[in-house]
Amino acid sequence: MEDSGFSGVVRLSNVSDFIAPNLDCIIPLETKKVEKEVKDEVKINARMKKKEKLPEKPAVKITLADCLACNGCITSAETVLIEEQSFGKLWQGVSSSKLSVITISPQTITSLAVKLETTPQDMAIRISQFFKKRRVHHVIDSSFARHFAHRMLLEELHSTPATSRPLLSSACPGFVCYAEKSHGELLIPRISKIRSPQAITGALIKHFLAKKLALSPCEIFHAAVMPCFDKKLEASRDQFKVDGTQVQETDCVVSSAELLEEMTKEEQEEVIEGSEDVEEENWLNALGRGHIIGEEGGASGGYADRIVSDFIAENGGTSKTETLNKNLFYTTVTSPSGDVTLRVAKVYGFRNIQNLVRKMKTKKEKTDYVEVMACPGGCANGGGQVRYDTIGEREEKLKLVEENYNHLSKNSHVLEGDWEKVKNEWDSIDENWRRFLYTDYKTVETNVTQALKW
Amino acid sequence: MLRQIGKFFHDTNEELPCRVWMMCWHHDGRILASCGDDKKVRVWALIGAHDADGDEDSCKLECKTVLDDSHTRAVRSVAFSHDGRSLVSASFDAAVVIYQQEDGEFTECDKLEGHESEVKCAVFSKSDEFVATCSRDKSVWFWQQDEYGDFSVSSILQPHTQDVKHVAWHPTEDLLVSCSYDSSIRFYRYDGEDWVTQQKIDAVHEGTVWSMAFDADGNRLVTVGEDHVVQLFVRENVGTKSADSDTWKSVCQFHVEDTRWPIYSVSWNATNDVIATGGGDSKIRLRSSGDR
Repeated sequence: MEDSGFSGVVRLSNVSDFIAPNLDCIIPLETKKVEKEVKDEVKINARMKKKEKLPEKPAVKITLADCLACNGCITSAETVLIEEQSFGKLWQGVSSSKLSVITISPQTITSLAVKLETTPQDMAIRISQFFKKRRVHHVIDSSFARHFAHRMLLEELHSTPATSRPLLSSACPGFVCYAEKSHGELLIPRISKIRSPQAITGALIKHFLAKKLALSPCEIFHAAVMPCFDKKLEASRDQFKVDGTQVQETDCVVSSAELLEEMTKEEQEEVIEGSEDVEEENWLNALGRGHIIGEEGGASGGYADRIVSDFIAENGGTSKTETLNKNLFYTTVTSPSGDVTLRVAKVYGFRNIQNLVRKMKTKKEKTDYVEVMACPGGCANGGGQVRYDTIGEREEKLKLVEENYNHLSKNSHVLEGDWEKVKNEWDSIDENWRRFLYTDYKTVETNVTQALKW
Repeated sequence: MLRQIGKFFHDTNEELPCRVWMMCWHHDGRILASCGDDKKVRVWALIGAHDADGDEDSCKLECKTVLDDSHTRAVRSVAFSHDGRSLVSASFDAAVVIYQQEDGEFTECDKLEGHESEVKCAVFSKSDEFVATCSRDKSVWFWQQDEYGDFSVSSILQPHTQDVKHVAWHPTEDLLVSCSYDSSIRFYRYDGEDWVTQQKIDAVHEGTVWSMAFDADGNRLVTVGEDHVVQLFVRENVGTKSADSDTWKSVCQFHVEDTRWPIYSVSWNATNDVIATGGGDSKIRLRSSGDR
């Protein structure tokens, strides 16, 4: 347990007690009622003949969805996850689909680049080729989808009344999981309804691209490589199923560390120069050419900074950022007349989340928007990133990952050219396409064992 | 010889009294706090003084305050701050409550929430700047008090793999030790910004380590456990420049032979070095630690 990749938040809010995972899971008892045959009445002196009766009972299986709907142990969920969301399943999915797409997070690219001592651009090409050699059709950048989210941030904040603030960012699945399981009433109404980049990509692939290529969503396989184990939990949410089906928009999520392991399992492959690809650059092929989309505002998605810069562009004013500790940043925007017009914070790590919750409970939290991330150090330091042995090494490499990330090009051709195009095409396919950019949350009820009071 | 000088009920129902989980003296010696299964914390005043003749009437406890609306489940532990102005209670309802003394009365002033399940122990550090809490959720939390008395979370650590039973502060330094159902003890130190685990000692006892106590100067530590062993640890490399190099080492084990019950509780007398233990066999045992 101690070394699992899940964020501390997820682990702590799902403590399994004295009992091993398989022993304490009550889900099978609850969900699958074994039909009792009337014949099974106990008769005195009636010996049961072996072999004759006892119809084969179907083996009860706990699915990840069961685990997510329960506030019980994470250990069961973890076991199920390891089975369901692994490279084994990924290759299986790739080989059994008509179209396969892998989404790569920029945090993954920078983490692997630091580990393998190369540039993020070169790393993007290597990752892309690694998958393409294994029959993956498209390897794409998750930042393309994040751009949809960024465009909606300020609008959502404007429509959030002062009484419902701070608005909390929704991209961190560890935080969302914690909010739903531990502070539903307080936090859920305040979490941004905008989907995470992974979830938007899921819709882009299984809705937009499927419709465009006239494929059924179940003929497409979509996997994501993320800096975070909790993203596996996110991908399995009911909210991210293709409408009216049991198909997830993101079928499988693997971590940066898992990708590194898979890539270094075999001999180093030579990078093929000058691929045969002569297509015009677009969101599906840019990553393979080493073009990664950069953003301002740090390696956790830059949500807080984006709100600040959009707000200033709209209303004017100047911003000032105060660093309270290495995981806590407060930015205020002051209007030309000297009034504070916006308060935004970045709150990373479980400790700071606790203090945020405490302040919200006592109504002392005065911010308008908070970028919340469960991991200290944010996504660059996500639980799924490449690990190092010593604390010193970890800190040093984290700094490099962050630097690499901050140096990614902010002027992406893909964003400038292709984003509007995709948006318009999506709109022409389905005029209600915007619903795919939003999601919702629900409180997870505590289970029976936890409701016991003594 | 120990002899009883009085008997008072934490619970008003004397017929069927509830379990009293913990008692704690205020540092002035005139106030006592008790807590128990009835979800209440009681603050008692010691009236009169007991004389050598053992006249029972000359010394009694009077219940001054009943704090009954802070917790929704049994209250497991109570502790006073070192300045004597605050009291902290830890409950199975997963909350920790801070009470402050005003006009001689303790009243709830803050609720520290965050633990996922039963909180087993909460104690103020020597300087009162920190409160350490531990829980069945396997975590140890450090809460920091600012100059206005407001608490915020300073660190959350999860070094144990099981229920954390007890935490104890070093008598003079910002050093904490915790013990757990996972048979281990862990030491923590403040690095100026965060609390970090300084030393881990596994398999201290067979089964649960139930409690531990420091001696007066904090160079020795005693632990007790499920295996009815009393174990003594000594601190090595004290006074070296780096705090990291000071480590704790087990120097002796005392098997309590005449019981098969766990030893749940231990207290080290700061003035005469007598160690008192309380066990599942309802016996209190005293032993002298002797020379080092």
